[in-house]
Amino acid sequence: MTPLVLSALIRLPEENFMAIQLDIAVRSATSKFLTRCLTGTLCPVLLIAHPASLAGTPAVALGSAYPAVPAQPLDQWVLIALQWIAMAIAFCLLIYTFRHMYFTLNRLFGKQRHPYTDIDTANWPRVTVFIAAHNEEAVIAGSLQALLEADYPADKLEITPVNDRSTDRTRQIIDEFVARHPGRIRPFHRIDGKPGKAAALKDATAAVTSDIIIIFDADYIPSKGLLKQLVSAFFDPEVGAVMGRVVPLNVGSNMLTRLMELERAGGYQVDQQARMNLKLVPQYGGTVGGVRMRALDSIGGWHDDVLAEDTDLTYRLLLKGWKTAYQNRCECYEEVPESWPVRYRQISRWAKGHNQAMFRHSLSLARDRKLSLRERIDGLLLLGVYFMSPVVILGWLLGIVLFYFGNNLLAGGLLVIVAFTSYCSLGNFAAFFEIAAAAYLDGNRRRIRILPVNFLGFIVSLVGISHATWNQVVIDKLFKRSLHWDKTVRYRKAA
Amino acid sequence: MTMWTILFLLCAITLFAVPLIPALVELRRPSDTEPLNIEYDHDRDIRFFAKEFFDQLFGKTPAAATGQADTQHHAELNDQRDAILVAAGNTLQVSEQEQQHRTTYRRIVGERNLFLPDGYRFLGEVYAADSIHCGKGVHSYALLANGAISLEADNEVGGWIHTARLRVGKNVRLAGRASANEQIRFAGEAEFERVNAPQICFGDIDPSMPTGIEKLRQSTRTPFMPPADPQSDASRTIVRGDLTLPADSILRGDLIVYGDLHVGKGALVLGSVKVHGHTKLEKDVTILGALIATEKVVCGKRAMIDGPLVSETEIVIGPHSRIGSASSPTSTSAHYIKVYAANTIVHGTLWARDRGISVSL
Repeated sequence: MTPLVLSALIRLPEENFMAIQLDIAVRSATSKFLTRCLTGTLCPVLLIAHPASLAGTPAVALGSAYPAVPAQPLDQWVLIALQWIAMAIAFCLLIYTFRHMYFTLNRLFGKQRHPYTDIDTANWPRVTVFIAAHNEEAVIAGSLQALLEADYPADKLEITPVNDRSTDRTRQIIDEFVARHPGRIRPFHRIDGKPGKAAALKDATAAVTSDIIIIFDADYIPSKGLLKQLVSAFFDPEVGAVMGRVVPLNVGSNMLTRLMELERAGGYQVDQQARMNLKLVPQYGGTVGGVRMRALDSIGGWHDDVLAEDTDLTYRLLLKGWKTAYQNRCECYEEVPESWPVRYRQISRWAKGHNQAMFRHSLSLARDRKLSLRERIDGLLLLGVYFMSPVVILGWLLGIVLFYFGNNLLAGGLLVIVAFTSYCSLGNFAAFFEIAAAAYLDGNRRRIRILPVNFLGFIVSLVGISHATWNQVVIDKLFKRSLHWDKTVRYRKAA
Repeated sequence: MTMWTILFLLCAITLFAVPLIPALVELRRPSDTEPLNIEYDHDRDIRFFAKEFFDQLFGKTPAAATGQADTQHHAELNDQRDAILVAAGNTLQVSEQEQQHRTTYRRIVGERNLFLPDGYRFLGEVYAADSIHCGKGVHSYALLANGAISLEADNEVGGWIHTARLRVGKNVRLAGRASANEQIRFAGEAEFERVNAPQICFGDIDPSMPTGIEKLRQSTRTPFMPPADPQSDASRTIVRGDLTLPADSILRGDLIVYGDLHVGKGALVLGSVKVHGHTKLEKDVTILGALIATEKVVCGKRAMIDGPLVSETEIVIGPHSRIGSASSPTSTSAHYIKVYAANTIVHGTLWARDRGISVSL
C-alpha cells in the first residue's frame, strides 16, 4: 500500500512544481517522459525540502477527490506500451499471489501426500552420504558423529566428507574420525580444482559406487532416523531426487534469525509440501536431500558451472522424466545468517543461481509435452520467483509514472494491484499467509506476532535479489565477469 | 496544516503502528524463540512405547533386562504406581470395586504367566515375564510379554502391544501398534493399524508353497516389448497411459505407468513399479521390487511382491500372497488395507493409516 499512499502524498498541485518542470523541460517526447519520471520520483524529496508545498493541498485530496493533474500528454504509443507492460506485471504478480494462496489453502484443507513416510522396514539400498565441507572446523565433527550414530545398516552406509580445499583444521578432524572408526568413513580431500560446491560434488561423485547419494552441509546434524526416511522415497522408481525440511536452529539469536525461521517455515511446511500434494515441482534444495545415481548419470552428472546446483539438478531431472519428492517429516537443523550483510550475500547468490537455471531451462520446460501442463506452469513459475523482484520494482515505478501521465483510473488500479500483491508474489521468501499457516501447522502460534516486521526482510530480499539480477544480466555481461561462489558464514563454536 | 490534515496523519500513523505493537512487544520480550523440536533419537521404532514401559519397570541395567522382575522392585512399583503384582503361579486378583465395574486402571505385572479374565477392561499397562492370555471380550490399553500373547475373540487393544509371538483371534481390534519379535498370526476377521513382525500370517499357512525365486525357476515367460518412449531406457520403461502386461510375460527393469496398470496372470517384473492410476494384479504375479501406486492396488491370488507395497489410497492383498520375504522384510502401507486371511504372509510392517482389516474367504 506504501506506493499508493506515497503517490497520493506527492501528488502536488500544478503551481508547486511548475517551476521545476519549466527548468528541465525539453522538446522531444522521450525527454519529456524522462523529465516527468524524474519529477515524479523527486517529489518526495521536494516534499521534505519544502514542507510548505503541502500547505496548499486539500486534505481530502489524499482520499479520492484529486484535483486534475497537469496534462502534458506523452506520446501516445509510449504511454500505451507502458500501460501494457504495467498490466503484464500486475497479471504476473496476481498469478503468483493466487499460487501462494492456493498452496496455503491446500496445506490447510487439502489432501496431504506423504506416500513414503510409512516405509520403515525394507531391504535398504547402499547409500553414500556426502558432507560438503569448506573450512568447517567448527561444525564438521558434529555432523560426522551424528551420521555414525544413524539408524541405517552400517554395511550399506558410506560416509564421505567432501573436504573442498579447506585451509583450517577440517582435514585433521576428518582424519581423526577416520582413524577412530575404521571402515566407516571414506574421506574425499580436494586440494585444488574449480571452487564451489557443485564442482566438489562432481569430483567426489566420480568415486561413488552406491545406488543413492544423500547430501548434508557440514553444519547439519541429522537425527538417527533421518537417513531411512530420506532413502525411503527412492523405492519409488520414478523418484530421482528427494528433499527434506530444513529447520533453523539459531532462531533466538536476533530479529533476523527469527524472521528467517518464519520464512523457512512458510517455504517448506507450506510451499514445498503443497507442491508435493498437488504433484507439481517440489524443489531439491542441495542439502538434507539426495539423488539417485542412475538418475544423475542419465542427466550427465553435476554441472560445475552453476551457482545453484540444486535448482539446476531439479530441472534437469524433471526434463528427463525423474521426479523430486519432498519429505516434510525429514527435518534437519541448520544455521541461518545472523547478520544482514551475510543474508544479503546469501540471497544474492541464490538469486543468481536460480536465475541462471531460469535462463537455461525455461524454454525446454515450456516445450516439454511429456510433462503435465500443471507441472510445466508450476515449473516456470518456480523458475521465475527470483526474477520477480526486479519486476516488482519496475511495476512500482511504472505505476507511479502512469499515475501522473497516463490513464489515472487504470494506473491507480494497477498501482493498487502491484502494491498489494508484491509481498504475496515472491516465491522463496514466503507470503505472510504461508508463514502464518506454517506457524499454525508447527504449533508455534506466538511467533507470528513478529510477522509485520517481516516486511523488513522482504525489502532487503527485494533489493538484494534485484541488485544481483541487475549485476547478472547487465554488469557481469558487460564486464565479462564470471559467477563466483560465496560460502555462508557459520556461527556455531567448535565443541 | 489544517486540523483535518493533522487528524488524517495521526490516523494513518496509528493504522500503520497498531499491527506493529505485538511485534515490538515480542521482539523486546521474546516468548517463542525455540527451534522446531526435532527429536534426535527418534527412529520411528514401533517398539518405542514397549521399550519405554520396560525401562520404567526394570530400569536399563543389564540384570533387569533379562525380564525377571525382582520382588523388591515390584514392591516399589506397587507403592509408587498403584500396580497389581501377580506372583508366579497365582491368578490375577482385583478389588471388589474393580470386579463390580469389570475395569481396572492399575498396571499389572506378572512374574510368570498372566490370564486376563473375559470381559474386563485393563486401562493401565500389563506386563508378564512369560505369556499373557486374554479371555474373550477383553479391552486393554497396552500389553507387553516376553513370551507369547494370545487374544481371544472380541478383544480390543487401544494403545500398543509387543511380544515374541502374538495370536489374534476373531473380531479382534488392534487400534494402535502391534509388534512381535517372531510372528503375528491373524486367525480370521480382525482390524489393525500398524503391525510389525518378521512374519505376519493371515489364516492357516501352507508351508509347502514355493517361494518367489522357486516360482521363477519353474516357469518360462515371454519378454514384454513396451511401447516406445524417448525417456525409457534399458533400466526403466515409461508408459504414458494405461498398460496391460500380458499373461506369462516378463519385464526387465523398472516400470512407470501414468495411467492404470493391469498385470496378467503369471507375469513377472524384474524391477520396481510405479503406477499413477489403479493397479490390478491377476493371480500368480511376481514383482521383484517395490510397487508404489497413487490409486488402489488389488493383488490377486498368490501375488508375490518383494519390495515395499505402497498405495496412497487402498490395498487389497489376495489369498496365498507373499509380501516381502523372510530374508527381506518390507513395508506395506495405505490408508485402507484389506488382507484375505487364507495362507497369506506379510513380512515386515503392515501400516494402515485409517483402517486395516483381515477377512476370511
